[in-house]
Amino acid sequence: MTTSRIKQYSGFAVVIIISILANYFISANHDKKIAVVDAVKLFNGFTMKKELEKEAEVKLKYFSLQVDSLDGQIKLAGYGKDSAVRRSLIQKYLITKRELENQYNQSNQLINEMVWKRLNPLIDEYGKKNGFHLIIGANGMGSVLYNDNYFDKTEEVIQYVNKNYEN
Amino acid sequence: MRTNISSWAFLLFCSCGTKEYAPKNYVSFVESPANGLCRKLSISGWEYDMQYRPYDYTVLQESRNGMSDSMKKIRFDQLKGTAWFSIRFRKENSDQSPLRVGVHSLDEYQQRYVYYMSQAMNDITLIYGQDTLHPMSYVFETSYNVAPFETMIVGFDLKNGNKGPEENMQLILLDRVFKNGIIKASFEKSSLKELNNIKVSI
Repeated sequence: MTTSRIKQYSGFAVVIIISILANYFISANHDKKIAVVDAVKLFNGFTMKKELEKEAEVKLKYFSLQVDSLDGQIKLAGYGKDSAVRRSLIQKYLITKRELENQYNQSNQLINEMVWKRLNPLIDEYGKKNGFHLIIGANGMGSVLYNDNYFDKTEEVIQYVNKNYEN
Repeated sequence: MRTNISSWAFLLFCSCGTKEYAPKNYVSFVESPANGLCRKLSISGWEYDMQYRPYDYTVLQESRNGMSDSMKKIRFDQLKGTAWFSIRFRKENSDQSPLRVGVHSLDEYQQRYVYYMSQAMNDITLIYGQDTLHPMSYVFETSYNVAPFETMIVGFDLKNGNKGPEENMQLILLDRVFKNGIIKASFEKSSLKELNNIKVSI
């Protein structure tokens, strides 16, 4: 065997080794599973969030009806001459409206807290069970700029958390 | 003769499906999560044990310190047409009563106490088949900080005459205090059916 032949064969061997290594690293990277979940869709699709909102609605509706009723009374009083009555109604109206806003904000905050407190461990559990190394929460605030459907597991996660919730 | 054989066969068939348990074994059966009558849920560092309490189980628990047969009969009659559950909750890895966990003042403690004594029943419902039921009775069994858990006992009128529960049930609790949201525990009618095949000497 001539020296040039040996060089040629060793060249081939190096190319083969490099391609095997490249193939190994590419496939190893494929095993590192990543998922993207639309956090807003997940939050809105969680059954507990819908049920908590429905429950809060009853209380909020009570305040909302009071505000509407006072608004109607103020309009009626506007046609009469007794401005003291009107002033008192306006004061009541403003207090009730503020109360409605407070209740609405408090209820929203509580629902947010309860829902995420429940969702976070469930997302962890989903990730572990399905062998994900990373789950990225896309929330429309710029953390994920582009995402095609390849890594998108939103629907799957919504199904998982809802099934778990119903027990 | 043929009738006699078939009636014997029928009796044999019926007796094959029935099991007889000693009181202790019956209680263990009801309290074992494997039998679908007790659901243990772990939510955000809190444990909730939702236990369905069959009539036999309730009377067994109540007669631990002795109860006359006539009184037992009265209790069974009272329980007919109802479904009872206990909800026991505790903070994981804590030896404090849940009423004290994370509390910063006596006021805060009392608020929790008052809530569990008189308001928590408004946050409990039962889905029975297609119906949504609200509690007809509620008791808060406080542990006075002697044990690291607290227990609520809740009863529902099934509005099905004198029958016991026969449909799928889902007990729902809204945990406002520890902000764990809505907690659900399902009890399948197949588990209830299995229970009907168990006899216990009370």
